[in-house]
Amino acid sequence: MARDEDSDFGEEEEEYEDSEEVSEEEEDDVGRHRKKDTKGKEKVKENGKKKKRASGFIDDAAEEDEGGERGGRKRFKASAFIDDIAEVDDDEDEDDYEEEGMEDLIDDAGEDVPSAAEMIKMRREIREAELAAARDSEPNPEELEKYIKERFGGRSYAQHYGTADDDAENTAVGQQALMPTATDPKLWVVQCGEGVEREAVVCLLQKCYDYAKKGTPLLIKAVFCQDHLKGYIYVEAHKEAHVKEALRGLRMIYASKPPKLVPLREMVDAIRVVRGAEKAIEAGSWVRIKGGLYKGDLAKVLDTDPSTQRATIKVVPRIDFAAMAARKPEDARANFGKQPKVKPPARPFNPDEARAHRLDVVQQRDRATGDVYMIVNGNNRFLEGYLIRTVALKSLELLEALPPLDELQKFNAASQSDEGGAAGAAGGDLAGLVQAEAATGGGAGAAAQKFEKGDRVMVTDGDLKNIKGLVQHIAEDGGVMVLPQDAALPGFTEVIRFEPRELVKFFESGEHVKVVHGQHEGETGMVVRVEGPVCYVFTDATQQEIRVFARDLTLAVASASAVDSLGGYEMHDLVVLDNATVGVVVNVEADALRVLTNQGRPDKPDIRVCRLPDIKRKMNNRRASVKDGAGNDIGVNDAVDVVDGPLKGRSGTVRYIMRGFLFIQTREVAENAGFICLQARHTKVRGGKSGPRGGGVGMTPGRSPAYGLLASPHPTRGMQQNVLASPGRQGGFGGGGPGGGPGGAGVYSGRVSTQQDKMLEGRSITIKKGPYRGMRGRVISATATHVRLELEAQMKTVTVDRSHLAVEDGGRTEAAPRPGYGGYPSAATPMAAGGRTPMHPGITATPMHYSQHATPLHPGMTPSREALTKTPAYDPAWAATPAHPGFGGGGGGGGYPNAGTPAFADTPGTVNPSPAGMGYGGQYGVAPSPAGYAPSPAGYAPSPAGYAAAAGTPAVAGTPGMYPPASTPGMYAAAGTPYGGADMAAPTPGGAGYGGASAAPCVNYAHWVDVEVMLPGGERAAVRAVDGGTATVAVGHNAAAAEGGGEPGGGGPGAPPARWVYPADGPTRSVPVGDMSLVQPDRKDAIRIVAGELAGQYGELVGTDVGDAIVKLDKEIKIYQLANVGRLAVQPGSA
Amino acid sequence: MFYIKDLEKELEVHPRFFGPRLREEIERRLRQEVEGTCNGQFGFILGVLGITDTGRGLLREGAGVAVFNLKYSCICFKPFKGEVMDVVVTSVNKMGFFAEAGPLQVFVSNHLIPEAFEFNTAHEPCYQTTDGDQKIVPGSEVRLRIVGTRVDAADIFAVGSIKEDYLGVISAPL
Repeated sequence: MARDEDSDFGEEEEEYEDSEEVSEEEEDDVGRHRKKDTKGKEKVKENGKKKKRASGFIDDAAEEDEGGERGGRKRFKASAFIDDIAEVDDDEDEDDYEEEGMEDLIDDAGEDVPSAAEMIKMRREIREAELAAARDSEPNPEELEKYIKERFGGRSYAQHYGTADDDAENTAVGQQALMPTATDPKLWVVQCGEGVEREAVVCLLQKCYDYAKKGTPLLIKAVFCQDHLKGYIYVEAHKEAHVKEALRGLRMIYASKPPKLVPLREMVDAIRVVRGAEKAIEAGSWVRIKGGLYKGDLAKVLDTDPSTQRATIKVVPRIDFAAMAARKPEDARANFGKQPKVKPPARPFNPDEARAHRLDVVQQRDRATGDVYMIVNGNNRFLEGYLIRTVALKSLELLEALPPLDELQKFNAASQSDEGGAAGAAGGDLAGLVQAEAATGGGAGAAAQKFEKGDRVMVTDGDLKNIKGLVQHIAEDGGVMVLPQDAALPGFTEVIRFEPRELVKFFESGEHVKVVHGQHEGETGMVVRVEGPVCYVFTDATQQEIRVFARDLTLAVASASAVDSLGGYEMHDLVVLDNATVGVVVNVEADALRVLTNQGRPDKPDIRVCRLPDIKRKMNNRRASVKDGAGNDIGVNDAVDVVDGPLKGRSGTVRYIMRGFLFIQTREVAENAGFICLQARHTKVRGGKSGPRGGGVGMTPGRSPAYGLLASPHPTRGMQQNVLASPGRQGGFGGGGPGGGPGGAGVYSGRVSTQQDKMLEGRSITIKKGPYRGMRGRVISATATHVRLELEAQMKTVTVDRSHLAVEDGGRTEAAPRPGYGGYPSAATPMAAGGRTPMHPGITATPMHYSQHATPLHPGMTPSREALTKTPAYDPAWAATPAHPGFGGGGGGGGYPNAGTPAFADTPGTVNPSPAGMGYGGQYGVAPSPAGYAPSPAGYAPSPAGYAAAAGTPAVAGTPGMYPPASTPGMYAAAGTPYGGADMAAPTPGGAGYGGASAAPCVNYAHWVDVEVMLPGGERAAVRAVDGGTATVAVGHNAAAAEGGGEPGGGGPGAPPARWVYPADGPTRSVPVGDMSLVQPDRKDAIRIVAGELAGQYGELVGTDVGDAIVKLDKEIKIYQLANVGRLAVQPGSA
Repeated sequence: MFYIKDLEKELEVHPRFFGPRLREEIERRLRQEVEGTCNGQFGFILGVLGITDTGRGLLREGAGVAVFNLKYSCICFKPFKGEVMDVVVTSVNKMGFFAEAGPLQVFVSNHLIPEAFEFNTAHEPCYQTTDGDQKIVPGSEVRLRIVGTRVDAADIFAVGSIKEDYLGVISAPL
């Protein structure tokens, strides 16, 4: 029977023309019954030939029966067929979605010829079923209908007749001739029950046959209904009476409503079949499924049934065989249609897989089409790997044009047919695919391409084939007006009208195009190759090659990317690509982001095109900071300059900091949205300190300004300069002072400072890295590399790498060697080195002191010195007594007592006679080992005890507050302290000078009487009387020098101890009290307390401790500040 | 294609430059502003040859700046479809290669490279003939024909082809 379908149309036509042959009733019935939907249209067209055709149609069936030895069998078929209908209907009532294999219809064929009673019963059943179906608006057993249609070449009738009178129809005259005239039969519209329009038509048809047989034929010419017009049928007749006569007795016609005449002008409209929305979906259309499991999936329509509003489609199956196998047969129906929670992936049906799940796979051949279906579990039909479904048209969405290339490829890839054709292309031969589509689908008008004004097109059909042209405009009826532009048609300026199907868009290599449809919609690019209907486009944005149908392209006018975010990632976001790679989004495209990563080099930035899955996440660390090349902190939004590398000279704003890399946005670079990525060390933050890090200590930032300023020759600015120079030392003082040993020599040692660590102690710090990340703790102790922290959150003390700490004020986590701190470690250094001060006298003895005195640097750096220079007595003393043992200390000036303080740190510079010693840096390099410099008390051993005491007194160092300028480095404060607070007899010139200059008013020299003092010249004298600012002293002479002829500078330990005698009648002279300094007493010397609450008392020095004197006063042992103890000029023993 | 064009430009000059060196300043500013720019009409302006006429500076009211309507001649470079030019390859990838002709960037798709060339990533990405005679690597000089141009606001991009007689590699990188 399937083969019968192939019978030539012409032959069939003849059959139609055949005289009516009365065939068996049941067949007629069935035939008419099944035929009705096609009839609707046909009747209309043929205007009254209907009956003939209807009968012809039946004849055809009959003839087929007769036309072979299948006659008998045919009969069975027919009955089987009816049986089936009943069955099918039942089935359908139960389940709309269920479809039956049409094989069932056939295979169920009964062997017996049904009796008349049976036939009647069947007929009734059919009617009932049909009524029920109409009520459910899912009326028909479409399989059966299809079967019939196929068998009788169903759908081709219209075409068939169309071709028959093609000539007449296609000419305007012919068309006009067909228009109804007043002499033609009229059209009457009759109201009937809703939903029974078709039934009414069929009944009338039946009635027509019956009456004709009886010899009293109905006088109506035609009857038809329109699917869209509910509740009405049209009847064609010459007179109203004929209509009424024909309708009489039909229960579905409302007899109360008389037929109404359709005006002549409206007759054509009445019979016009509206090719509306439902028309749009046709066999060959591409559709998208609107809902359910297959929502959004692409499907191809195999067949449609306008009467039932259903379409048979094929889709790539989404079948979960496991779930299907697990489903129990009893509840198979219950949960049918329920979709699984997870959408199974779409993939071609594989019968072996289904069998593997023990599913019932039946192979059956469709007799009508010859297609081999695989039927799984009796309800899923598969054809060539696709799932075949019949669904309501409403659940489908028609695709205006050919689906996007990729989807189409996917769809076609699912095909398992071995044959060629579009489906067989399997995505490989796109060109062939598209052409096939154009041939098949295009013919159906499903995938008509859209043209726009300005498109360049090529004619594909007709006389003008291969002519190129430009679309001028689109006519209202869809015609495309094209101006040919072709070498073959020179000077042709007439616009020609083409049907869209006759044209294709046309592009050439090098054209700049925009994708207007499909996956790549919105992208622009340049055509690099044209291969039939497929264009290869090199995109502007992603610089990738994409394949697009020419039909989906249009010439681009401008290439602007409209979108600036994709999947939550926006332009300029910092995104993580992998563990080591981060980047900034510098461009957003339709489906990809361009990311400037940190993996590139400054001269060759690494730009990656990332799709969403490539990107891990977005980052935002606004608080990150990093060090620039000079060690300055860079934060987000800081302005930086690039100081080396290929991008040197550029500057910009830091947008992101990540793992030592900076993402800098600069206006100087156009590409990559102005972003450059480079390592932080190649940059310098604006306003930061200059110079590379890690130079000499002298170059350390804190130091250098002071250095420059210290060189200033302006004494007037000395004070200020010193202040300026101080920051580095301020801390040093605070930290170093209290614990400060006398050895300031390590100042420039450059060793990693522990001073710094002291600074950290007690502070609360957040750990920003490592296992304790995020915790805060109090610093217990710190070294250069590690810090011990007591965690706040846990009872635990942990040792953490310094680099893991976040210090609020920045930079301190790193133990930058600062000069000011230098004193501290040296305090810890063995004093032995300092003890080795034989060179000290050498220095003091050297005439270089003068030069040193003269150096502009000198006053600049020690204001106390400046004060000294203003003291009249100072000068001679300074210059004249090279032997003065205190001079070394004097060189140290005010600094000396503050050993270990930064103030002192400066002093070596002054002491060092060498010109190179003027500068700190130089000092560092040239000066004898800092330790060697250590003007430790030991070094001064021969000098008066009081002096040493002053040097080491913690009180001294620790009393900056006492002296207002203490805000400036401890130098002043410390310098001033012992002397200012003690007495004027301070033995060091510096101290004296200082005290005299600034602290004199508060000093009481009254108790200095009898005490041995040192005068600036190095002479010693016994104080006889003090009167205000002047003291009368008896200058002694050095008995030892006289005896041994030794050098006068008895200050050094190597020199023979000086013994001074003060004859009572010796010469006296007056000196300013400020010039006097105490001579440090030795053990067992008779002493007098010169300051403090016990001032004036006499006693004996039992011993000295660092800075303290153990004094025996009236048998009472007291500990007293060494600085406040003066040696009596006349010792009991020697006197 | 290179052209010598006479173009005009309005240039604003701040009053602080009004003085004996005004002309120098104008020329400096002109060069700074136009050299290296690109527009769709004239292509890239490679260099200013000279100012033919500075016109009379007109003070702009309220601003104090002088506006000169300059006429100057310059060398322009505009690529055309169909033009044959020599370029230097800058990068090679599987889609084709990028090359530069001065300020112009040209892309040659692998569709527009003769089939004899094969993409080879063994050593460095390159297009190589099977016999190894010719090789397109960054630095190679290539003669190509421009098949299309894309003119952006401030740039021109071209697609070229070497799939034609007399086109292809001219010299290997130095």
